This record gives sequence, C-alpha cells and structure tokens, in this order.
Amino acid sequence: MNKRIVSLCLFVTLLTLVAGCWDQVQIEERGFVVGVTIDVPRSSETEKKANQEAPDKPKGKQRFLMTHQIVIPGGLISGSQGISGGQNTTDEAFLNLSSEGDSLFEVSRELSTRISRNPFYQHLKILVVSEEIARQASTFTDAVDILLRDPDSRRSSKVFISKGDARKVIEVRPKTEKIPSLYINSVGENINKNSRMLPEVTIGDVHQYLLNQYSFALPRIVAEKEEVKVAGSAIFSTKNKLIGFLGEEETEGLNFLTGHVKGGLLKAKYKDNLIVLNIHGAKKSVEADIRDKKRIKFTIKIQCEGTIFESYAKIDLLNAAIMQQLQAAFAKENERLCRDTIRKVHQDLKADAIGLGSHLKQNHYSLWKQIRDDWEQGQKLFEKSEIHVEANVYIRNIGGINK
Amino acid sequence: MLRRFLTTRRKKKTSSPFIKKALQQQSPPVLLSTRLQENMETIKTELGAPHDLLIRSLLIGNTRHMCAIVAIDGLVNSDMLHDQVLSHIQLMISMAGKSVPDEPQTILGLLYEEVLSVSELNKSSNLIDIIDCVLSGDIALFVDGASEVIIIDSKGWKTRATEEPVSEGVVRGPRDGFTENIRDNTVRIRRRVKDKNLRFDGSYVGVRSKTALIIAYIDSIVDPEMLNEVKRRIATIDIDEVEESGFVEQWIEDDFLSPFPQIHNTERPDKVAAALFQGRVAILLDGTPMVLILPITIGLLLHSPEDYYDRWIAGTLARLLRYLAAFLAVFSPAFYIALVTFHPGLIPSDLAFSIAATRDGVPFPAFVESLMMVTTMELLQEAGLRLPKPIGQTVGIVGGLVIGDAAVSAGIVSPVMVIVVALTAIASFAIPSYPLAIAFRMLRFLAMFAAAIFGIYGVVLTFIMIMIHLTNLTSIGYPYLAPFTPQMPQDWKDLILRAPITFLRKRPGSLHPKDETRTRTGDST
Amino acid sequence: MSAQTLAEKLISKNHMGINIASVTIGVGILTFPRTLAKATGAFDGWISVILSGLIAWIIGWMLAKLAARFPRQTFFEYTSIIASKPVGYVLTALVCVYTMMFVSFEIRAIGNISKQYLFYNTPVEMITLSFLLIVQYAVAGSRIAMLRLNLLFLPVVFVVIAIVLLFTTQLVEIENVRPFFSSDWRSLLKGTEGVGLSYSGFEIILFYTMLMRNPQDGPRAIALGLAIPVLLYLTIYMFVIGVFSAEVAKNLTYPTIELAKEVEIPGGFFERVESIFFTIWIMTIFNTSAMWLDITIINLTSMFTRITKIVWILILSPIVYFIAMLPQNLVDFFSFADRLTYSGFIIVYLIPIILLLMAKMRGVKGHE
Repeated sequence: MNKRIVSLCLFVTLLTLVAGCWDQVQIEERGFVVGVTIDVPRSSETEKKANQEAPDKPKGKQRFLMTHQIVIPGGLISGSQGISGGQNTTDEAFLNLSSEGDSLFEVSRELSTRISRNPFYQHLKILVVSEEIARQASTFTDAVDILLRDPDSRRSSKVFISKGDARKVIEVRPKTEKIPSLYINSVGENINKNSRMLPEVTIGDVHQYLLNQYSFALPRIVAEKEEVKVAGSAIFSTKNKLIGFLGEEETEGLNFLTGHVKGGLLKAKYKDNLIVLNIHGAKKSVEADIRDKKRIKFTIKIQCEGTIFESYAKIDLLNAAIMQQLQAAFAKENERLCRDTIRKVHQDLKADAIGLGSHLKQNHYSLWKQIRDDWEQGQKLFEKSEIHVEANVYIRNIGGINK
Repeated sequence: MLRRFLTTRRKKKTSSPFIKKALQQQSPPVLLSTRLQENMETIKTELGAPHDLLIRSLLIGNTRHMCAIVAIDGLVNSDMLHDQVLSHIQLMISMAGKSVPDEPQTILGLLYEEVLSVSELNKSSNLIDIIDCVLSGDIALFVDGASEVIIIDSKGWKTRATEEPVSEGVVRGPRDGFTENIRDNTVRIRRRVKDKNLRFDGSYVGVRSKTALIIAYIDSIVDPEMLNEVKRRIATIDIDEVEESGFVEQWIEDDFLSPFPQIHNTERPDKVAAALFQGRVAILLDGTPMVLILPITIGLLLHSPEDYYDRWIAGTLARLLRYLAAFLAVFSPAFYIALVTFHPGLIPSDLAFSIAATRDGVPFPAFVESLMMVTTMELLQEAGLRLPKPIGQTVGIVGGLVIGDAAVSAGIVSPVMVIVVALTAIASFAIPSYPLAIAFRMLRFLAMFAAAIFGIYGVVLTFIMIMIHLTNLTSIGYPYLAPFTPQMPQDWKDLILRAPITFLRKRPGSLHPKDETRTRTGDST
Repeated sequence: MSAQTLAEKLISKNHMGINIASVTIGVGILTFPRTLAKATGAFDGWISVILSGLIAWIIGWMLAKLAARFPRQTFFEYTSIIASKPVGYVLTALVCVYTMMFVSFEIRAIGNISKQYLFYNTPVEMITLSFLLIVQYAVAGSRIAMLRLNLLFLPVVFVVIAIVLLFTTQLVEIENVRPFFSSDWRSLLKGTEGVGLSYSGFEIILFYTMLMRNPQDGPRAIALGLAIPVLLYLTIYMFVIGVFSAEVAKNLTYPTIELAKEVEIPGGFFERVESIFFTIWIMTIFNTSAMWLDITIINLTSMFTRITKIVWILILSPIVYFIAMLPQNLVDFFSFADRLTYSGFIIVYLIPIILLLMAKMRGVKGHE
C-alpha cells in the first residue's frame, strides 16, 4: 500500500517537473505596460489592406489606434551603473508602440509579433482616450471594455481624456521623470494642491459611471512638448459620449459643487488689492425642494475654509470686521465660480455632472423611482430644475505675518 | 553507584514494566570462584588482558591472606586508590587493637565494615557484574578464599572543565553548560532543582557500550502516563552502541519520516531545569553534553531561556522576531521566485522595474538562480561548520566575496537575489534550535520547487502541507502544535507573547501536569 | 491513553463552531455579493444576509437536535435506528454522493478561479490535481488533526480579510450605500435565497456530533458557527457595495476578489494584495473540501466497515477528480453548484428534519 502511494506521488512530481512551470515568465522578459492611449487612426491604409486580405472577417464599427508605453527597465538605471550584461543600448527607459485594429485585444496581441517582451498590464498606470474616440457614441465604452474584463488589468489605473491626439500625451519628454506615464500618474494625484483638476478617476470608477444612468466628468489632459497639463474636465452624457469640455475655472467650480475640493486657492479683491486664500478643504450639502416635480429647486451650500497666503492689501487681518468683509468677498467669488460652472453644465451641456440625480436617489428615493427615466432623458427634468448656490468661507488663519 | 541505585529501585518497584525489561537484560550470573588466582585468570580472559587493566595482588596487613585489586587505569581516582584503599589494607594489622582473624570471609567483612574509608561500597558475587563495574570505573577488591568481592566506587577520570554552552549562547543567563560526564550533569540539575521530588531513574543503554542513561523528572509534577511512555520507549532501545543522545532520540521519536525534531536537545542546565519544572522529562546520557528534553512543542523550539531572563517586553519582541524568522527562513526564496516569475503585479511598480533592471542579463531563470544561491549558502554553512576555526573564517571571506560581489558583477545572479539569500540565512540563524533550523532549511527547497511550478499558489499549498504534517505530528503522544491546536488559551500567555512573569502562574496545560500551579497562591491573580 | 488525552481526541463546542464556520465559508464568499446585488439592487441586501442566516440557524438547530439524540453514533447508525436498515443504507449512500460532489465542486472552483486570476497557461487539471493531493494528505492523517487545521487557518483568513477591508475603507463612498431600505420584500426574499446557498455546509453537524465532547452542545455550536459567516458576509457586502455600488457589484464575476484588487498598500513590499487574498482563500476551500471528503469517508466506512480509510481515499479521489472536470464552462459550473445545493436541501435538510420528527414521535433515542 505504502509503495503504491509513494510511486503515485513520485509520478505526479515527475510529471509536474517535466511538464511544469507553464506560467513562469522571468520578470525581465515582461513588457511592463504603464500607459495605454487610444486614438482614431490617422489614415485608412491599414484598414484597406486588412479588407483586401480578408474581406469576410467580422469587423468592428470603429478602428482604434492603440499606443502602448512599455518600460525598458535597463534604461532606468542611469549612466554606467547598469549591469555589464545588460542588453539595452538606448538611454531611454520607455518604448512607445502604436498599432491599429478594430479590437483592442487584437492590437495587444499584434504587439507580440513586434516586441520580444510580451505586454503585461498589471502595472498599467494611465489610460488616455482621445477626444475623437470619446465623442462618438459607444466607442468610449468599447475602448474600456477590455481593460475591465481582463483579470490582469487593474481597476485602479487612471483615465484621462486628451484634447487632441492621445498618443502625444505619452510622447512628452518630462524632465523630472524617466517614464512619461509615471509622470502623468503623479501629476494626476495633485488634487490637494490644485482644484482645477478633477480628482483622479480610475477605470473602476468609469465602470461605475458607465453602468449608472448619470452624466459624468473625466479629467482632461493636454500635451505640450515637455510636459502635460492635467486641468479641466470632459463631460460625458448619459449616452456615455463626450459632449463638451469644462475649462480650468469651470472644473474648479465643479469640484466645489461636488465637494471634491481638497486644496487650491481662492482669490478675492479687497479695496482693489488682491488677497489669496489657501483652501484647506470644502464641504457641500444639497437641499432639494421637491414639492414641484417638474421644477425641483436645489440649493447647494458650500462651506470652505482656508488660510490667507498672500495679501497685497495692507490691512489689519486681526480685525474682526475686516475679517467678516474678507470672508464675504471670498464667498462671493466662490459663488461666482460655481455659478459659471452651473451655467455651462446646466444650460449649455445639459448634463448632470454635479450629481444631483444621485442626490435625489439617495435622499428622495420614492420620488426618484418615479422620475428616474425622465431626469436627463425623457422629460428632461434636470434641465427644468433650478440650482442655487450659497457659499460660506471661513478664514481659519492668517499666516505668519499680519500686514 | 548507579547500579546500586537501580538495585534499590528494583526492590521497590519490580512491577513496573520498565524495570522488568531491565531485569531481562541482565546476563545469568557467573559465580565467583573462591580462588584468587582463578578469578584473576577469568577476568584476564574475559577482558583480553588489556593494557589499561590494573591488577595488584598484595598481602592483607600482617595476615597470610592475599588479596587483589582490579581496576582500569585512568578510570579510577588514583589518590583514593592509594590513600583510602591500598594503604588501609596494608596497614590492617593493628585495627582497634584487635587481632586479625584468619577466616577470608571475616576479613572481607572487616574490610567492608571497618577498614575501607570509602563512602560507596558494595558486595557482589557475580563475575559479570563485577567486570561491568570495573569497566565503568569501580575498584574490585578480591580476597583469596572469600566468596564475595568488594566493589569500591572510585570513579575519578579526568573530565573536561565546564564551559559556556557553544551551541546556545545567551547574553543574560548562567554560563555553565553540561559536560560529557553524566555525574557532573546530574549535579548541575540537582543544584537548580532542590525539590525532594526530583527523580533520577538510571539505566544502561547499548548492549556493548553500556552507556549510563538517566531519566530526570519531578515526580509531583510530571504526567505519569507520559513518564511510563518514555520509559517504555527507552526499554525498547536495542542497539549495541549509544555514543550520543541522538541515538536515543532517534529510537524513541514518534515519526521518523518527519523533518521536524520531536525531541529537544540542549546543553544548558537552566533550560533543563525549567523544562522539568514545566512537567517535562529530561534524558541524560553519559558521554555527551546534550541532554534530551521531551515532550516538546514547536513553540518551545522557538523559545530561548533568555526570553524569561529579560523583561517581558523584550522577551515578547524577541519571540515575535523569531516567529517571523521562522517564516522567512522557509518562505523567502520561494516568495522571491513566485513574485518575480509569476506575480510581478504584486510588487510596487518602481520596485518591479528595478528588479527587472537588475535581472536584465542574468542568464538563469529566477528559480535556478535561487537554487544556486541557496545551495551555495548551504555549502558555505557546511564548510564553515566542519573546518577548524582559523580556516573557517577564510571560508566566510571567500564565500562572502564570491556570493556578494563576484557573482553579481559577473552577471550570474542579480543583487536582489543576494539580498534575499542573505535575509534567508540570517533568518535561519535566528532560530534558537539548530535541528529546527535544519528542518526549515529542507522545507525551504520544497517551497522553492512549489513556487517554481505554481507560484504563490504553490507556496500556499506547501504551507498547508506543512501545517497538515505539523497537526498530525506528536512528541511522545503530545500534539506538536499545542497550544495553538488543540487550543489552550490558558497557555497562550507564554507562546508568541511572553506575559509578565507574575502572570505565568500555571504550568503548560498541554503537558497535563499533576500540579498545575506554579505559585503557592494558585491562580488568584 | 489516559482520560485526558482521550478528551483531546474529541472536539469542544467552540471547535465545532469553528468547523461549521470553516465549512460554510467557501466559494460562496466570492460570489454572493453579486447574487445579492442582483436580487436586491441596493445596500439593503444586508437584511437578506441576516434573514438567511436565521433560517439556516433554525434548520441547523434541528439537525443538531437530531444528531444530539444519538451521541457517539454515526449518521448511518441512527438513520437505521429511526427508519430501518435499508432506508439507512439508501440515505447514507445519497449523502455520500452529495458530499463527494461537494468536494468536486470545491476543487473545480479552485481550478476555475486560479485559472482566472493566477494562471494563464497552467492546465486546470494540474491545478486541481495538486490541490486534491493536498486534501488527500490531510484526510489520510488523523481526523482530529484535520479538524484542528480549521482552528489554525480560520484566524489567518480573518486577519487577511481584515487587512483587505481596512485598506478599502478609504474607498468606501457613502453615496454608493444610500438609499437605505429601498428594496421591497420580494427582492429581499430573492436575495435571501441567493445568500442562503452560501450558507450550506452547516449540515456537517449531522456527522461530526459523534466527535463532540458534549453532543448536547450541538445547537450552540451551530449558533456560533453561523454567526461567524453572517458577520463576515455582512461586512463584506457592506464594503463591496460601499466601494463599487450595487450597480457595479452585480456586474462583477467575483466581487470579493475585485474588492481585494482595489486595495493598494502604499509603500509596502506588496503593493497589491489580491493574489495574497486569493491564496489565503485557498485555505478556506482546503478546509471545506477536506471536511467534505472526510465526511464522505466517515459515512462510507460506517456502511462498509471492512474497507479502511486509505482504500476509500484511493477509490474516491479519481471519481472526485473526474466529476470536477465535467463542467465545461463558467455557466455550467455555477449551475452545477446551484443544482448541488438544491439537492442538498432535500438530502441533508429536509430528510433529517423528517427523521427528527419521526424520532420524536416514536421516542427513539440513542444510548450514551
């Protein structure tokens, strides 16, 4: 009996050793994909070629130009410190590979014919989708589908919408970092310093937005030669289609309205002199007057607190009366910001990016059940609603000097 | 004296199966002849007249009777032989003014009762017994014509002075260690345990080596079931030579297939004393400083006596560190393999890229790389162990240079691998029990293989397998993982944590001690 | 062996509770938030968790009562006493098939989910085979040692789940949780049914009561054994909904793993924990399958006393393995699971309850 067990175990061990190690891929043989961008192809040449080759092949509605940014680890070690046996000859720490097709998976696999290291998505940091892709109906959804479905990818990769070509974004040459995607990733986290960008939106969040029947906003990114600018936002309609951009100021307002302000600044004038407030945080609360279903009145109350950081007006900041006036001035500015945003979102774009529908669902569920389908679509109750803003600013500190 | 100990016990407790077995081991008595010359001849033929056999025939005092002293040169205390034995026999003329009788048996009686000023005397008429005694360092005094022999206990060979235990050093704690002399060792225990219930049950193991073996325990604490089991197992030892306590250990352990030590060995008397107080049993063997402690649990192997000597916070932290070390010693190379070849996604991005960068150009897969490095480390360890100390250092330097520097700059291994191997080595040195560290070293290879095939899934399967083995493992019938499982929460204050000494009022419940409390007031904390 | 060491061969009330918790927490913990979110569509699913826990407890209480009537007797023995020997044979054989299928299901689950999250090229056959070998090894050892593994592994599982949840707290958004009490009772009941499937397993009380030091403690062990999963499911469901919202949760195949995937430990050696979480979860599946295999063998040896445990392990393993390889895809696999649990409702819940009633009416009782 014992012999039989031993021989069975032996057999299994040998079997595993002989056939084993199926999934072993050495770390240096993986192509760490840190950034993916999705564009519309510039020319239709490859499409034509593909059509000639196999005309009956199933085709998608939209062809994508997908660019992978792959890390070359050897390039990360600067100068001659690298290991003598290293295979890299370039100084560059990354490689951008573009390829097109009507399926992103196809494109991803197509890469294997061009690069020795197979793409590995678990360290994917950013996904940039170009404006053109996002503006067409349902292509945005198609573009993120693979990244959500693939168990290999992360729900925590950040998503940006680029104004202009998306691949330009990861082609910038930042001075501070060696890999553009990591640089963009870090820039995207600076929400607590500046409220002109949206808080980071991950693929997981996008999944949630796409499944919910609300409009939503994604951060906008603009490429320049050596740097990118993450500011402003892209507004998507309930059809999951890009309908417009918000500028930097408007995005700041949007952040105030959604309660996402973590830091940033507010400027106000006091007797023709500029005074700047460093924001420590802001809270918002929404009150909805739902007596008239057709004309719901919202009052968004914003409470913001901060420290005086710059004061060109030579005034006594320790004076209570002046403080009151200052607070009122800041509040006014705050309300202006928000009102500008509301005008754009509510009247121009007609998209509920402020999350008022979500507020109704959370707090007035019985009403929401009735108007769910008539909120942004159908009867368009959102457009017919009224939105007011009340802001309060509290100055908590005045900095190191008084005058 | 040991023999005498046993004989007295024999009278008391002939019913014990252990003693019965001991009785069976005795050879049939060979009766003594009354003629001295004949006896000497027998002894010489039995022993083959070895070079160190000492036979001195002399006249007893002013009688006409001859006597002979038989001993092994070097084993006996020669001062005692001269001052208390030889000179007394020769000067037996004027003992208390009485005239010396002529009858050999009476002379023998007189010698036994009056002349010899030695504390340990015995009479025997069994030649085999006598030879055994002579071989273990006693003096046999034959009187011509008498039917008995006086056996004088005079063991006094040269022994090594006690030194600080090499294998188990402490910063704080007693510096003495056991030696090869069993008598010295019992003294060391006796000096720490002045309880009247301390028992030393002696016997001999090894058909030919006749090595003295003592089972030490405190009668009022130890679980009698366990004691009987230990004695039963020792009685089964049937081998001709027992040079080290390892022979005993391997004869009586529960599972010979297990990589884990099921019996602890130590050369620290304080550790043995502490174990006895907890209700464990110690086995001392003549000729080795290694004393066995049993039964044990895996927790005990990860404890050091210093945990108790230091304050409880330091003790607790040291223990936590050791549990961590145990984990690292087994699994860190396996984790490296699993993470680097299967799950680079688990490593933070920057670290993953830099590992990839350092591995760039390394020609071997991570598994082969770690196998090489870990094997090299084992080789170094083994080489350093066997070499004389001055050369041992050279090994360290060569190994350190080769592993640490040359291999990396030659691009054969990656620097991260070196760090992992160094971590593993340090972790396995941090385990206080050497046999346990060996077990971990073996399991390390198993975990590495599993990691190479199944990644982290394989590592977890290995972990589960080790756990299955450990829950099934017993030491003298006591669960090896106690008090983790079976769970005995009352024992947990002295497991991973070491509660303040005032809280440790109970002995380990997993040992079923007869006397559960350690304090006079009991559990009235 | 002395009375004391004999006592260590038996299991205490709390140990039994841990066994029940271990066997209950299995594949269900990964999928139930999806079922629940699908049924209730809101945070209110927690009501279903408690409701189904209560129902499970009532059933479990009756099963424990039945087993406690016949201390130190196997399932086969007491069913034979209550309802004649042939019925005992048929019933025990059915139970054997059921428990064996459960082993198959668990090891297939390991294969499926490993394949999805850990491996790409490794054949599912090898993954399951290696797991099955480990389960065999555990069952081949002593029974009490196998049960003690529950005591070792369950705390580890809890610690890891606690770490995962701790790091997800910052991702919980209150707006995902609200509105409260928005689901109607119909959808709650549907949710109750869905979660109820994840509680199956507590029927081991029918078979392991004979190992209990005091069989009368069975009902209390059931209470403990179900309280642990109820609390665990509650917390996990709250976190899943809080992090993903119900809308997303119903679209995730394994919401609990996705929850672990969300975790990022900044500055740690492990940035991500999902593989760690997943492998720790293997321990619970291991416990579950080892116990099911052991129960199958208890029942088989109680019917056929001549054949030893090792022989049964060797006979059963290929069958278990073969059945595990039967489902062709994920849909097949989930429907296999559901059918298994529903058949369990009859075999191990309904029939034993009927047996209990019969025993009460006829006043049959076991002897101590």
